[in-house]
Amino acid sequence: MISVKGSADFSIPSIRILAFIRDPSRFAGCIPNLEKFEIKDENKFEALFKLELPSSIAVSYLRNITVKMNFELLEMQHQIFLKGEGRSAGVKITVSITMSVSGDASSHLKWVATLDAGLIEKLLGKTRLETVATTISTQIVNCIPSKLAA
Amino acid sequence: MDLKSVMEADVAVIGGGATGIFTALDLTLRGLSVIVIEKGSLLSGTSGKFHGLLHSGARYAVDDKQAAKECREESKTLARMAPFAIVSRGGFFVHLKGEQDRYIDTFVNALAQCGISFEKIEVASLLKVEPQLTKEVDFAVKVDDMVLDPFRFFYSAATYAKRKGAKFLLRNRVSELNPSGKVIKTDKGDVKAKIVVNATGPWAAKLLRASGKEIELMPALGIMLVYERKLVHSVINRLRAPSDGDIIVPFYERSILGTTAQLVEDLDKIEISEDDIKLLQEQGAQLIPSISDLQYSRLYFSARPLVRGSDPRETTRDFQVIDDDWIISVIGGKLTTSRLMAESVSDLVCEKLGLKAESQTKSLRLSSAFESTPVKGSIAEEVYEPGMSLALAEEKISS
Repeated sequence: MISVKGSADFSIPSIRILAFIRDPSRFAGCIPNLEKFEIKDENKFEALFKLELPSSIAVSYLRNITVKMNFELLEMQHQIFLKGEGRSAGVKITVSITMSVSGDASSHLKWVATLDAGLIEKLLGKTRLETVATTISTQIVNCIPSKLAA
Repeated sequence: MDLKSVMEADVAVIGGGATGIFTALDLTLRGLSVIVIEKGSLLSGTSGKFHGLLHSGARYAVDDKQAAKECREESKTLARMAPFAIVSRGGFFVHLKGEQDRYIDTFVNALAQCGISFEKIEVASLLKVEPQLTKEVDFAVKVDDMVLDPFRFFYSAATYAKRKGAKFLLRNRVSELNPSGKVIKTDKGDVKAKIVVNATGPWAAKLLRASGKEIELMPALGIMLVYERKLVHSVINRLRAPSDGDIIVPFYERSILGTTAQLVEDLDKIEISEDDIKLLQEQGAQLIPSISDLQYSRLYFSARPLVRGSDPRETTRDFQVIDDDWIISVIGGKLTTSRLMAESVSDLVCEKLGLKAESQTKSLRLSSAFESTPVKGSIAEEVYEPGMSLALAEEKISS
């Protein structure tokens, strides 16, 4: 199991950031290489996306793995919890993400993600899995302002 | 056969898959005595459970140029060696609307860099030839992919190796490897050999454990679904970064949808999840929409061994040779490049035994052990028997 965290500052009111994150249909647009997205319930959605693994994985058939996740979104004041369960490369994956937003006219977003990827962690090693998780998290977070500007 | 005494050979090859058979053939043609030991029948492991694609190299052109160039040459070599084992010729890489356009340029440039022949095809004309293909195709290239029947090919190769002196001990498990005495203990008796080639693929680590050696392997399963109809006439590959469900192969009158890459801890404890099968079907249906309405007749899977590289930053490699004095392990690779792998292992074996002899397999021409009419003057004339089936072929090959 690994845990990664990060933060980002936006010159966008926190209320807009929160509204974006709590809307799966908009938030999912920031998942890189998203192939399929389906809202299952008010707070539940399914996402299927491709994940590119580092070039140190020399075998081509494992460089782009398909990830299918079911997420549940829970909210508490200025915090949003995203719990996900799914599969990739035949391995069960669980993820739990906490995002908190502070500020007023501008906002500060902090996130912490815990990921249990079983044999994928064994394949990549802990450090590289942390790098992959940080990269994808950063891509998602960096995408938010561009989607809000659009 | 009943082994009453210790058998002796220059080389014992453990594993009767593509690499093991080619290694036995290569070394036999160089003048060495070879015994192949296989726990099941020939091709009962990964080599007999793949989708049949003889790679043009196109699939690897972007990510692994060395493998792509090797496939480009080796696919031609194998097709020349046994044209009777080629089921179909030609393949297409198709790009679907809405997918990353930039991958098209990356792919086409990589094909050119690797010297892989390709031809851009008008989508309309492709859809005429392959009417089951999705209308979402917006770009296509034709490549020299082929489909190979591994049983026709490798039983014929094994038959030739036997004719040249190789011995095959099939359905015979290895229980112990004794490097100091250079003895392999098997169900049917002891085999003494100067060198052992471990060509057991994903079981390589388990075999090495029998000699007290440890290597770390992580098998990755590939699932294939078989449909009882010819959905396509040529191999259809999805033009995108390699991923799940991106190939459909015509195999005689059937179609094979492949494949997945699923990590497993233990080869003896494999469970196939319905979710993974569904994912494969969904991805396949994006290429051939009728797949979503079809029931597959059966599924099969095989394991590719992933080896941890000697560089700790490199988790896996496609293919590795581990020289551990008496035992040489050859792990991974592709069926398309199995001859080349066998040649490099055989070179190492000959070097260790002080034998100067070149590999002859590249220019070899085989004839089918199964053909009803042998070609005059061919090898098949020597081994041909009317009505030879796979079971009979195995019986003939078993020493």
